[in-house]
Amino acid sequence: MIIKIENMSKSYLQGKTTVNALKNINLEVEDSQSMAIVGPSGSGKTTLLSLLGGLDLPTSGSIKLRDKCISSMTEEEVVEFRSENIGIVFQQFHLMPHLTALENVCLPLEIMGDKNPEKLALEFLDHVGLSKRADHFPHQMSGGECQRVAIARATVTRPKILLADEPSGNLDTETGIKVMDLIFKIAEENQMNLILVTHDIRLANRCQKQVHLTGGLLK
Amino acid sequence: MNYLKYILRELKGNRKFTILFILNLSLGLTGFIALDGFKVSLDKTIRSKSKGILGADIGLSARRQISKIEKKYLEDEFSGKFESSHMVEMYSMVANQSKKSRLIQVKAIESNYPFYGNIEFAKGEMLSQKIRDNLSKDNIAWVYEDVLHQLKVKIGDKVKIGDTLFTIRKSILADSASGISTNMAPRIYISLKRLKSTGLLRPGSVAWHSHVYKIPETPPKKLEEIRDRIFKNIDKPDVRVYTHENVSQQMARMLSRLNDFLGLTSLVALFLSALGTGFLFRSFFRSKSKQIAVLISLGLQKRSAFTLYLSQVVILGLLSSMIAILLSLIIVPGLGAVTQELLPFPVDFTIRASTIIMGLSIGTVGSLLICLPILMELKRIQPSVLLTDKQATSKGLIGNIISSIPAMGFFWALAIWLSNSFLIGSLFTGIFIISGVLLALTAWLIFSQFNFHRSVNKLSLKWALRDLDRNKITTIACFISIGLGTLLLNLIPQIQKSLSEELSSPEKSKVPSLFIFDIQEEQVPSFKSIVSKKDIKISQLSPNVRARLVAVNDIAFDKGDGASASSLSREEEREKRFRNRGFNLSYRSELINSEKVIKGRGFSGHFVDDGKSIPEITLETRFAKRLDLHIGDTMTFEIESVPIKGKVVGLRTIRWTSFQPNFFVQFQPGVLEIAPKTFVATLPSMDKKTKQEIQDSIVDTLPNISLINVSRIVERISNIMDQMAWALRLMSALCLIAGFVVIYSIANHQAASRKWDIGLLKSLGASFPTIRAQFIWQFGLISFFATLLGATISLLVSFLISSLLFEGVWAFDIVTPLLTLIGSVVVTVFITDMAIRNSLKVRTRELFST
Repeated sequence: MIIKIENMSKSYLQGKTTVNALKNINLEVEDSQSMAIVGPSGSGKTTLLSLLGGLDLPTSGSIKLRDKCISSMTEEEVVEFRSENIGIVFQQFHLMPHLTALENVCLPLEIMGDKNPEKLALEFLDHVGLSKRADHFPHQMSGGECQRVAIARATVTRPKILLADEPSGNLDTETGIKVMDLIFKIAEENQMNLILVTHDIRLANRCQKQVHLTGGLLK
Repeated sequence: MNYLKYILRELKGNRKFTILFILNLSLGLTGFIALDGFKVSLDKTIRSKSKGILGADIGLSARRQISKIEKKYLEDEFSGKFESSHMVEMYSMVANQSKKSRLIQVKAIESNYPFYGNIEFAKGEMLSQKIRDNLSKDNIAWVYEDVLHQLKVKIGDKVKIGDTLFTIRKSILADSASGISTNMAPRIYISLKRLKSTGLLRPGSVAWHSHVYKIPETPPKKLEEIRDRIFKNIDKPDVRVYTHENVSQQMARMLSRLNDFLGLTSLVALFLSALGTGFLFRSFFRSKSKQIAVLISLGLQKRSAFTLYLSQVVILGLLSSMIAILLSLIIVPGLGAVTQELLPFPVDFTIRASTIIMGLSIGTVGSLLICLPILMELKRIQPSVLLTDKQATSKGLIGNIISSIPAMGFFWALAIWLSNSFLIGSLFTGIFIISGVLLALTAWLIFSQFNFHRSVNKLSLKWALRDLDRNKITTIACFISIGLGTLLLNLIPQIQKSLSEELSSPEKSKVPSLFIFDIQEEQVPSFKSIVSKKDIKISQLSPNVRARLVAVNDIAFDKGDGASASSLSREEEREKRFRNRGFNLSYRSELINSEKVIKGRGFSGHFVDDGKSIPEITLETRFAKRLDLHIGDTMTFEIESVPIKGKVVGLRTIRWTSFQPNFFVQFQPGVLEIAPKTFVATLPSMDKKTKQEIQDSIVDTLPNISLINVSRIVERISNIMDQMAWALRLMSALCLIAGFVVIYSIANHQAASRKWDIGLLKSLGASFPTIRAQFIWQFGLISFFATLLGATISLLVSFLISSLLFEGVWAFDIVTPLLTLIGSVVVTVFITDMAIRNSLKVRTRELFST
């Protein structure tokens, strides 16, 4: 089991009111399985993704990724775990604006201690069809190209888990489809667990598993 | 929309920003308001007492008898409606019947003096016509209370003034005409009719002859016009014409150097806080851009949003001014303590309405001008940012510079107003701008060299260097701000050090114990004999020849126009005063310890008149600078109507605090020996008893000679200097705090603006220590280079300011720049680390969009 969530709840304070974003979630994801998280706005999709990425901590319950309970790790341990096991693709790309495409892809490798990350990063850029744009800065590229750089960056360390937060949400339909094809292809080729947050039922249907969130409850 | 409610909620909701903004601006304004309060209080008090200080409306004075023609120039202006009074003031040794003596200021007056003001005697008795008339009837003296204490005498005792014994008839408790000089030597009034009998007035004696006038119902402006006309008509530069207001201005001038320094400090503090305020508001405004976009999307007009934030700035400016006014109320009386030793009357140091209005105006207008360029960015905010991740584009470096022009103009005007000098105000602003450009260029050069980051193995350093190389505009903006902050922060202690060095009390063992003047030529042998009898060797015996400058390079010397002091800038005023003084010339074959030739050469030897050669002269360097004289120039003096020409061969520096007889102009030996002269002498350090015996012996045998007890003067000066140093330290501390608040604001702003980067690095798995180290490297490097350059520029600037404002007094101080360098880097790194730690604590879930 690559992901195992048990009795997990997440609540936070909004002013004086406690908001229960996620309620008693239990979830399991098999190795190499892809999963779509769907649900209306405010249903808790982003919260669930944040918790899976170790970007936030649950209020109760546990999250086990590759048999390690990240919910009981210190934040620094989570960060280290993430660098080795999790890749994230954001809707807004979140590329470093002052770094070239190649340097953006190098970043996770550098973090892992790779002294010569360029070769592998270039390989991944080539994989997403952008090797010729390696020296371009984000503002010199289109939205689709930026997202492809972000995908290369998220996957260059070959993480076991790839979290994708509406990766095509900021792109036109045609580019969006190409980007999603690329994500599915890379996940499949590298036997990654793709966890996809989306509103798009067609995209969700491409995943091996779908979970529906409504009002913080899993269906 | 209820604007006020929204603004107050905003300010309350952003407590940290509100507090920092107010703290920052109020620190800058405090110095400014305090100084204005100090100046206004001083000016008002002195002005209100000006007629009493002079005892008349207008007067003429010179260090010689004033001729009838010179008096007539003035009297013709009054069309017969005036009263006049003649008086002579001089310093003299006065002895009691046990022959104990003290230096006293002798003021010989006619019975109608003073026309204004009053004299209060013991037991509350006030000056009356009967008391006035009695003064001339016999050898009677009215003495200051200090005279009674110093000479250990009482009413009815006799004191010897020159050759004559005077009976003390009255002791004076308060005298409206007491001046700064009476703090150094107490005063005795005698009748002018009795002065001759004292034998004090001899050729070359230092005595001021004055004719003062009462012209009823003449407004100050009319008096100034009269003064200006007389000044033009009297061609002798050694005759001074002054109104009662001029006298009060002259008194205030005694504190001008202190005022100059405090003015500079307050200007620096204000510039610093303007810098900090700009950064704080920029940071705040950027963090609000989405909120503003929301308001606009909800239907708020951009104009209304602009008004909303503009009002917020006005409220903050007002609050800052009010706090600054409250702080000034504490500081001003503290600054006022400095005047206690200098002014003979108490000054009521309070913050007046005019100062409050000025403070409020500068606080609001200043903060508006600082924040306006940032607020203009509001035009670029589109509600569409809410639907995308695009930020409103900023104007860039050039755009920012252009939009800050109005604020710079405002501060330029303030600098001119505060320094009362177009030159100094412009210089200060110019230096500030040029330093900014210099810092930008250097930063560009330095950080362009950082493209070697690819070869750096240490990850945190590699990222830091890459950021510095790639984010040049942001880096340079930060560099300029820290650099300017450091420049200003370092400038004040640097100048203070120079000033303190100049003002520091001389080593007591090295100063002479007695300074003796008015020794007539024929009295020199007797004087030498008295001193040698006590086994004391005379340190210096210098001739003193009174002269007036008539031509420079054979062109008649211009004494300047008669513009009144109040309408002149400081440079013009100083120049005019200097041009209109008489000159003391001397000659000596060799330099004494307190002198050093720094340009040209010393004398070639004894002058031999071959009919062609011009005698050599050396000048004190600042004197030469003021009169724009250079090596090779000629100066023609007139001594008792005999012209004597000299050629400048050397420029000397003089350590005035040596208290040795030093002269601005010195001739080579062989020129002035035959001129009428007196002598000035100093005697070395000696025990109290010997000093008193020499003093008493001189007063007994050579009663016209005056002696200054230098040790007592040095002590007095030390007290004044201590008080001034306290004021300097107080204002410098204010500047220092303002400086560190600025550095804090900058570092905080920079760290806050990188929150997003930190979040992303975290999401990519970068370890906390790596992220922290990256930012510490980054801001540490910026801070190090910016501080290094800022401190270096500050050395140059302090040299420039010292040369222009404080007449070339500059002392190199390595400790301050080093401390600033370390302090600034430590503060920046500490604040960055603190801010980064806070950012690291924040969860990165905001990176997700849904």
